[in-house]
Amino acid sequence: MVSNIDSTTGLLSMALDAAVLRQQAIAQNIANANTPGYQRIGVSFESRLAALADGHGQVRAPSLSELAAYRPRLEVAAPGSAGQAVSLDEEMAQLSQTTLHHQALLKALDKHMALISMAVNEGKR
Amino acid sequence: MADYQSAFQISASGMAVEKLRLDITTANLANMNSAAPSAAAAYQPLRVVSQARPLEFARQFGLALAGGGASVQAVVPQPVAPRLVYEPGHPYADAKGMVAYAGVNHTSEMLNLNAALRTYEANVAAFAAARSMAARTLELGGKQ
Repeated sequence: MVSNIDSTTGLLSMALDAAVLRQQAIAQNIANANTPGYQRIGVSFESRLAALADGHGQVRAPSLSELAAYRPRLEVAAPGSAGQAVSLDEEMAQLSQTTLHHQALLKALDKHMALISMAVNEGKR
Repeated sequence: MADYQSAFQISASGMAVEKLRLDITTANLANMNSAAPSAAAAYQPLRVVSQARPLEFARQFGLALAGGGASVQAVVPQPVAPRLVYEPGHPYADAKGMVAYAGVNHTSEMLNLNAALRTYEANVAAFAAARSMAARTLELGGKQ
């Protein structure tokens, strides 16, 4: 869901969605770790956000109307193609990375909300 | 908005599959020394064949893996030859004095046991991760 307060909250909530979706994809991979012929699924989000970088290390904030194009997506190997098998240790590493990233995003959203709250309260706490 | 229920459901289905794998391996080990009246009637070690639950296509681009997880496709007996032991005094001995025991491979059963155990633990970890992510999200906007 794209929130429409400003593009930072929109971007953060999409990144949170991506983290949750990625956790679910990892859970799906782990649940099928012993399934013969199973191909792992992933989530693409950050790689598509790279399109916002201007090549000088600066990332342009997307406008609200642009955000929908950057929604996180599931990456499922096409049927018949040789996908990647599940390696349990790799999934566990990605799982803890995803959990930490999710916490960092929540912290960022929390701070951003605190800033907005300060503005709304005219600088008074 | 992403929902957490599907994450819990995916991990729970993975745990159920691994638990069945564990049960089946235990049954194989329990029957390791079961004798049978004939070679054809000997216990055949069982294997769990799991499959990924199909992700609904419409949901693949949504924000939750609804309906995902793993499920048991079949529990299939392995067509392995029984272990024949020479025991003339045994009530199940044939004319040559051979008794048919279950052809359970101890090593592969122990390997399966460990693999199922570790995968179960990984599912529990994924479950705990989903739980802590949900709990942290609930704290959003608190104590400012």
